[in-house]
Amino acid sequence: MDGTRFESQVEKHGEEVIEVSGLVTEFHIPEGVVRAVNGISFRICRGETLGLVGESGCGKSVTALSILRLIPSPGKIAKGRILFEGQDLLRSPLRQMQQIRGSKIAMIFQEPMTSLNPLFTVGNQIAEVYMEHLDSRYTEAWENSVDILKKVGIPSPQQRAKEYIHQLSGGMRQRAMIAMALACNPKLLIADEPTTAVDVTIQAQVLELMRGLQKKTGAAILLITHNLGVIAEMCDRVIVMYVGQAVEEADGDTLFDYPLHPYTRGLIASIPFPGRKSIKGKDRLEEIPGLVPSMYDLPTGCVFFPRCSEAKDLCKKEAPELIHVKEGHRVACWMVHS
Amino acid sequence: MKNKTAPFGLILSAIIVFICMSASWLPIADPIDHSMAHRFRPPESSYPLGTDNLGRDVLSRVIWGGRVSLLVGFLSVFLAMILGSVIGLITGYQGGFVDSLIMRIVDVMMCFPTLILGILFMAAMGQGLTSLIVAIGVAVTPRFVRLCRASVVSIKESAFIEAAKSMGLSDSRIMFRHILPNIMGSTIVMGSLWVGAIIIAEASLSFIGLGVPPPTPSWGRMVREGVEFLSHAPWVGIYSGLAIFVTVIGFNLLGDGLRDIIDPKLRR
Repeated sequence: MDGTRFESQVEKHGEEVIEVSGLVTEFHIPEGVVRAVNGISFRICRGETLGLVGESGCGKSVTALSILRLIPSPGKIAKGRILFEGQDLLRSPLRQMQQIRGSKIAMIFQEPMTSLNPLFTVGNQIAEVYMEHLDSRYTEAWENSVDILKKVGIPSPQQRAKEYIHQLSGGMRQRAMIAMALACNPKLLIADEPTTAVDVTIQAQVLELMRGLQKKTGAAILLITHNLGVIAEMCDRVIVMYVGQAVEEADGDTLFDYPLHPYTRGLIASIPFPGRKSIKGKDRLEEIPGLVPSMYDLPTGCVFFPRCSEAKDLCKKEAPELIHVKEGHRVACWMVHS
Repeated sequence: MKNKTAPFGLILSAIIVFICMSASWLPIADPIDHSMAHRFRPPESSYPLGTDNLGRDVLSRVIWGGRVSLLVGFLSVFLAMILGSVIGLITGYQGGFVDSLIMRIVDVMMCFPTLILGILFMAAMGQGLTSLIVAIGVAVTPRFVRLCRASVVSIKESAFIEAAKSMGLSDSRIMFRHILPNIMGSTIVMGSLWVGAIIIAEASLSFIGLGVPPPTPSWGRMVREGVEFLSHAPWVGIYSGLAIFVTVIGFNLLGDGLRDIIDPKLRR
């Protein structure tokens, strides 16, 4: 890790909240070993938002679940270190991990409808978090959950707390989910595709809400998405992932203005742009040729070379490392390195 | 509601349960009070369902016998539901070696007919109401274990369980507060379907002499006693048989109806 870059980061934001280094998460299945996350490293500071972007199945969610140590079997965290408040989460006992989950690190899921228990009221489920982590009594916990529902902008929270998840509208559900995650004022909020399941207007509301709450509480946010628009809206820094590896890391503006990795450029070029067709006539939306390689059978050398328009012989032989090109901008590509 | 059999089953079962429960307040004779002067009386006004070989009132014995049969039916199912849910919950949630081991034991137990298992446990524990309930309850537990485990395995993969874990809830809290209520529906349906089957199992065990010891009346014992006199005094055994028939029909209709109501695929 680069010391000077980190210092500038700390200056801009608060102290470091989490540091992930060399995280490798593997799935041992009969067909072989799949490295869903292959050597990811990052730091997030207080009040900072880090975006993880990439196609489906590139290891974004597994990275998030690794932080909480909730990798479903047969997955295993093989290597790496996750420092949170000076403590390595990968070496903490399970009981301690359970105390951290939900109180210091909380997670927002993609689909609030299925992420909340259909048999309990919203207030009841949020109250449970207070009872678990703050040892509150039920009445006190209930009041707290009505409070937090109010904070996330749910109208008549007293009433809504008594309702079941299916009785709420889509935007309300995601707000309830966010309320539950924020119940104990977490230091780190992991948002796994928080806006994928809601429509565009509510998407904007949810992002606005998250940003507002971040300003108030100073929480660090790890935002996982495949929507580059959301990244542009929210993130201070972005890591582009491809088959479990980071291929480019930069701050938000740099990434969109000067994308260096061919994969990043491909992703940006394939964003549909309203009005583009009428301006340029018959132009087709650009795409990245080929498919994401099978995790069982990764190409040797650079993982992206089979789909890369600028691939050379060197790319097939050797994997490029993630190297600094400018302050805070790292790329894993031979084109850029040479 | 379109389903008409469920309310019918519910009413039928409720009437039977109500009559049997209020046996001590009903104006009927003592079920074990015998009188040699009144043997084999056919149904008449003073003995609505006649008397048996010892001059005991058959109506009274059918009602009092129903208490034993229903008690065994309910408590056995209750025992099986509790054991089945807890074992199914733990094995299904934890998985691994213990899960495989317990499920193989369940497989082995399910190879035997419930009645054979019941006989086995009765033989091991001796006669008596408690051992009858425990024997039948344990004999049908494997079916509940299997049902609960299957439900748990599917529910523990759902997003809200992952979310509950990410909120730092402990495993026991997730199991008993988040998963258990979600599997209760199917367990209760299966329980109501098994009440009927267990009443038959109790009758069968009593019929072969492994039920509640005499003179306590139970439907199965009464059918057995009635068999001997079937040609010249059919009322001695036939009414308890009829009672078993009606009760089992009632609970089966109720269970079927509940299943239709709870299973969303069959709704509409």
